[in-house]
Amino acid sequence: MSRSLFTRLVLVAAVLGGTALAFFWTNRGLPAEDKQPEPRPGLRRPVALALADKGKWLFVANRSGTVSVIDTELLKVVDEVSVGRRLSDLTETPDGTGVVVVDEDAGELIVLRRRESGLGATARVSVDTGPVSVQVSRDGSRGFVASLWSRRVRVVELGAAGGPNVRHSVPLPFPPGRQLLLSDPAKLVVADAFGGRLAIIDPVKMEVESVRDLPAHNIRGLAVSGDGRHLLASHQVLSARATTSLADVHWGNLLTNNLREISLAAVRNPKADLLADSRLHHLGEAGRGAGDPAGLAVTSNGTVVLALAGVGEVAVSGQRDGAWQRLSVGRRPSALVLAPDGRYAFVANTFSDSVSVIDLKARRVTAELQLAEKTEATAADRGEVLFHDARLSHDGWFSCHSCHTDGHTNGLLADTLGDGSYATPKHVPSLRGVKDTSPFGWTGSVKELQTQVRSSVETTMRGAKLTAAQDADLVAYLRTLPPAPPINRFAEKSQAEAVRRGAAVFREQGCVVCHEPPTYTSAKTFDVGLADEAGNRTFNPPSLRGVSQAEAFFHDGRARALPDVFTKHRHGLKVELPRNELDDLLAFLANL
Amino acid sequence: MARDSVWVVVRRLSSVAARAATPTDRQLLERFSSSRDEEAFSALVSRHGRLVWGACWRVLRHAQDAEDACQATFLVLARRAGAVRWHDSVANWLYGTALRVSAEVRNRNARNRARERQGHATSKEQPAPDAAVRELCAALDEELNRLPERYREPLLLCYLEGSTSDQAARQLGWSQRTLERRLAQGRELLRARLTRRGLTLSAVLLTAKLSCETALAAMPPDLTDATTALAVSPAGGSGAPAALADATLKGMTMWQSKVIASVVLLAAVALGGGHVLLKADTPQPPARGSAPDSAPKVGQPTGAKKNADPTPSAASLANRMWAVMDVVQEKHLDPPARKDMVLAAAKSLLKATGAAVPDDLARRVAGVTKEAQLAALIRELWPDAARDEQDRKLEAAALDGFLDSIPGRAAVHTESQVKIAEQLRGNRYVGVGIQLTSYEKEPYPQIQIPFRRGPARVAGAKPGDLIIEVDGKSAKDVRDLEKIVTWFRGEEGTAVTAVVRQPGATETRTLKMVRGVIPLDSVLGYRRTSEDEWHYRLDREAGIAYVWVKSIKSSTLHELRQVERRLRADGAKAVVLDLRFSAGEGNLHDVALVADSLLDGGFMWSVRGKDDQVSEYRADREALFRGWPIVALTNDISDNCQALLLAALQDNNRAVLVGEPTNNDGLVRSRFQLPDGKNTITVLTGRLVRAVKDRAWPVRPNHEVALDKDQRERVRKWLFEKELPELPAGTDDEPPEDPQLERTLKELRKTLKDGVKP
Repeated sequence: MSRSLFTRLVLVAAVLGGTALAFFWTNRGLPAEDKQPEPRPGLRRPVALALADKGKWLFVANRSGTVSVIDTELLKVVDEVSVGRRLSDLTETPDGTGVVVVDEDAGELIVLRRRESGLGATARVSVDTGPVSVQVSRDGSRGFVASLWSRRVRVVELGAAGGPNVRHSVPLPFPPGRQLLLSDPAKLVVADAFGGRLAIIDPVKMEVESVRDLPAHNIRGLAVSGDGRHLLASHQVLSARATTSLADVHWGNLLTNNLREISLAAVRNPKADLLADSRLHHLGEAGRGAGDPAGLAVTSNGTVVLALAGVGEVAVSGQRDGAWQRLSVGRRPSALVLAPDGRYAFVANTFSDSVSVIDLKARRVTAELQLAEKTEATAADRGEVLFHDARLSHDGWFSCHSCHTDGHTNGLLADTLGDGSYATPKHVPSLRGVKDTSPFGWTGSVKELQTQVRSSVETTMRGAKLTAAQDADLVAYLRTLPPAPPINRFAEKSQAEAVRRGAAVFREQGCVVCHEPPTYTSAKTFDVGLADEAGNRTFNPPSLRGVSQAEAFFHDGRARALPDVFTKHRHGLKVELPRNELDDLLAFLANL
Repeated sequence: MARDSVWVVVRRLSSVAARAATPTDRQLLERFSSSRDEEAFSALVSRHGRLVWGACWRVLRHAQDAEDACQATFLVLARRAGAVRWHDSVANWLYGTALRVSAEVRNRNARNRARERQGHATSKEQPAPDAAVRELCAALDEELNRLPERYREPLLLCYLEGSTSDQAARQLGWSQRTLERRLAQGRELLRARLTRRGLTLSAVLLTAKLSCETALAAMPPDLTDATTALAVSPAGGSGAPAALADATLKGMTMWQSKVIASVVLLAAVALGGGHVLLKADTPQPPARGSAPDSAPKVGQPTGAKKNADPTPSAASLANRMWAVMDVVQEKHLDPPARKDMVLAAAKSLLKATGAAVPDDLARRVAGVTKEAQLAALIRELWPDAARDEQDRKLEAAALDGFLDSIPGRAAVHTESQVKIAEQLRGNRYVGVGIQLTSYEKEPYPQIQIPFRRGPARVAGAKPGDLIIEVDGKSAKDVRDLEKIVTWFRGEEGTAVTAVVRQPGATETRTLKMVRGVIPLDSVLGYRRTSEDEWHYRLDREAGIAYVWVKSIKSSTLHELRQVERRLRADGAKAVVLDLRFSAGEGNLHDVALVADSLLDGGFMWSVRGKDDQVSEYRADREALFRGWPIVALTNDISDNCQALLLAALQDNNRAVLVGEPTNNDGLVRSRFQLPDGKNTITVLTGRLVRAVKDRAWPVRPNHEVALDKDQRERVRKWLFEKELPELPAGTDDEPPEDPQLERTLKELRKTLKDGVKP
């Protein structure tokens, strides 16, 4: 394709609901200066960015299902094209001819390709339920799509003769989030969506080489350092030893926001200790937390540009004393991309529906481009914004999302006052399906979700008192969170028979006494033979809906795998189960 | 600047210095002070202009600032001309003053910059292209300033002023031989000191010389005339140099008042949440204080009426003792029998009354099984004629004996004591941030130190200010400094106003302050370079950094992280953790966070509690100073926190320990609320067990190096003086002889050279 074709860019809106290989062309004409579309109403929620044509065009994937197009010379939104239902990621193809996006709701990978007369959806591939990130190989031949709850990476053959198709599936031992494709030799790094694990996948053999554990959670950004020798990961670290006292929150003893440098040599060597040669940078300081670090990018001279989603800022490295310079942008900056010359950074402000432009030389924000007209938000919309706002906490150290990652859990222990005392760290509960699981807290002492929300903000986050409206908004948001989907839903073979038998075991063993259907919990507390450090013996049973997606079990997370709950801890069993019955029980649980 | 004018200046300076049979500095100053002899002062400026200008330039590197500082230095000389007994040469005095004035300018600039930064959070830092030169110059000035005067003077004259040795000898009134001997010795001392910082004398002198040339190029040609004019102007001058001179003069006088008593406004009560580690050798008896207001009260009186009961405090005292005994029985690691505690109280009470111990006391005490019986016993033992005053004393005596009978000692604290302790531990102390002292020449309390970043300092409080009144209450003749302290204390965000003035001054100033959180650093560097900056490097070439962990509290981990960031940016490769004389605010929770942060996984220690319950403390994989060798300095510290940190580092081979054995008892004490819901009691609840079997307390260093009494005192003074916002004039700012630190450096250099972990 000739270069001159790029100078004219015409956008094509793809019509929804097409078949996987449908081609839709709706020529909307040129995005001439005198013909700029006004931003339309409705929330956009930009989540990913990519540049094309030597940085002339910026594509923004919106969770609303559209891709916004920004002319980076005019700094104007020149078009917006509807491509799907809920976009979660986007990346440019290496040949510069288009972008690949993934649609979380439709479970699709969509190729948007520039053609002679414009750019449009040229292909749709059904990949999996809930794809959350996408990478494309250097030669453009393969796409890697990570899907959250099905816990796998789908390898898509992009250049296949009959159009793109799913070639292979790589199962993972954790729900994946961000990905980064390394080159020479190619390796795919896939990060845990909630906790601190990294899987290293050989993209040629299409198998997992190693799974490594980092003392980290909420890994939201991956990049290679300027010297090409380190993997950079933005994440948080929660200490189970620290408490949620004001002093520990204030001094960053409880939760820190970090950028970690890991030697790539260690990443590539499955036997190497990732931490031995690693370095942890602490973002933020007392008085000025840097809650929820997210997307990051590295300039050719090694400067790191890092979004601080929770506090609406972008941090830039390279100060003389190793400190970071921080610039204010919009609400929840989550993704960012650098112009090819490294002079500018573009930041997607998810909750401001805008893109900020940062001049990295002058180190200041030069523009904020609105992607949508301001819209009246619902209570749940406002609640979602609050849930991800670290400014709700003392000095901006963390948001609700920091521990209840994406409404789920980071799988770690936190020593809060939720159980009435410190020195009794408890497993962070998932908030998925929380609307049906009163009472709240491990000791079941709180009946109203509103009360629990208020007390978490005040005694765990050590933030200011919430207003009644904020309270209501947060609750409205929490009520929209569905339970995590059972892992059986993604199984290759039907488990129906085992599930049916397992249901009988569940009944016979009396599990239903505490875990009553349909929520598989109860309003009471029970002594199941476990005590915490303060002598509490009765706990409110957690709901078993989505239990197959949990990483830790019991109040102190002492079991790290569901079978251990029965084999090691003999939880709730009247008699020891024969192996086949245990398998059936596990199949049943994996179906809830 | 035109080359010509530079040469004119240089020639003029040299010609003055070269003139034979010149009067000494002292003679010139006498002429100036007696008859305002302009020419005499001009001669002084000419003679020492180059030295002063060079010193100011090296610190400030800014022509206008250096000129202001240079003029201010001579202004101070002019104003003090008649007030001081001068040496033959004032070079030394001028040099020291120039450095201080320059430091003041630099700090002022830094404050201004900080203020500007607050306004524009995104403004860019100024790059420092000549950082290396700056650092070398700073090293030279720091080390020169620390040399004994008799060595410093010849070095100043010969190396920085460019005098020949016979000129210098004449100026100093010494023989040529003396001068040359001292010059050689001074040179040797300086060389040794610079070597210790990883620098060579020749490199530093060369840099200084080059810097001098730059300095001279930047030196204003009319500096001598302008300075002289300023000095002799009847109004004493105005503008920046005059203001600077004023500030410097104030700083010089205030430290001359003798400190007779010192109460730190942030008086530490070693308490903490949950587990508390108290100093083993510091009993904290309640009710020992003579002032009833400040004496901790155990429990509440049970409402017994004074007139109805001849021993009014008996019921209340019994009630409080019983409550304590309940807690002790339940929580104490190894609780004593109730009767033993009662017996101890009874004996102590009898001793205080002067009565003999009755033979049947033990039997009577054994019969006490209820609170009412205890009250009855107290009533029997209480002297009939005791009056109010005596009642209180007796009660205190009884409680003393009672608490002393509890193994591992117990301490009772009031709500407000606990609150202060918690604020200190959390490093979130709320107040105005001053250290008070009594002043002997006038009947007012004096602000000894307005703490850095504290509301008082921000409001303009100066060291030495006398407190005239606080919120309208006169402080005149208030000798009880604790009373003044309570006037200043209050909730965060509330306002307090004080009227102050400098000693001897008539003009008063009103300080409007808002009580706020005063951060008190627990991790300090080797030397403070400005109000908010530290110099951490001990050996630049080898990359060895130094921190003094003054105490361990909630902020310590954060402070270590900040320091690590700076040290890494600075290229350090190894660190000395000095824990000598470290004390206060000890808490198991905080030391566990700090130890964990320094260890890359591993078993830290365990706590063996009641009924042999063991809790184990393990470190996670996160490690500060990862990959760096660490040497920790230790001495007879008694805080279990510090000892525990040292033990964890040693037991996990994370650090080599140098110094003297610790002096801790390895006991864990925890704080519990008493039934009154207000006071708390701290009792022994466990023993600390080291990670390596067979290792016990105290912690023994890997390399035992002792300090003699003299060395110890000087090291202690050196460490604690670093905290002062500005050093008192005349303070010996010379790093003390420190064989422990020397040994530490030796170990680290060896480790770095061999590339193996120590």
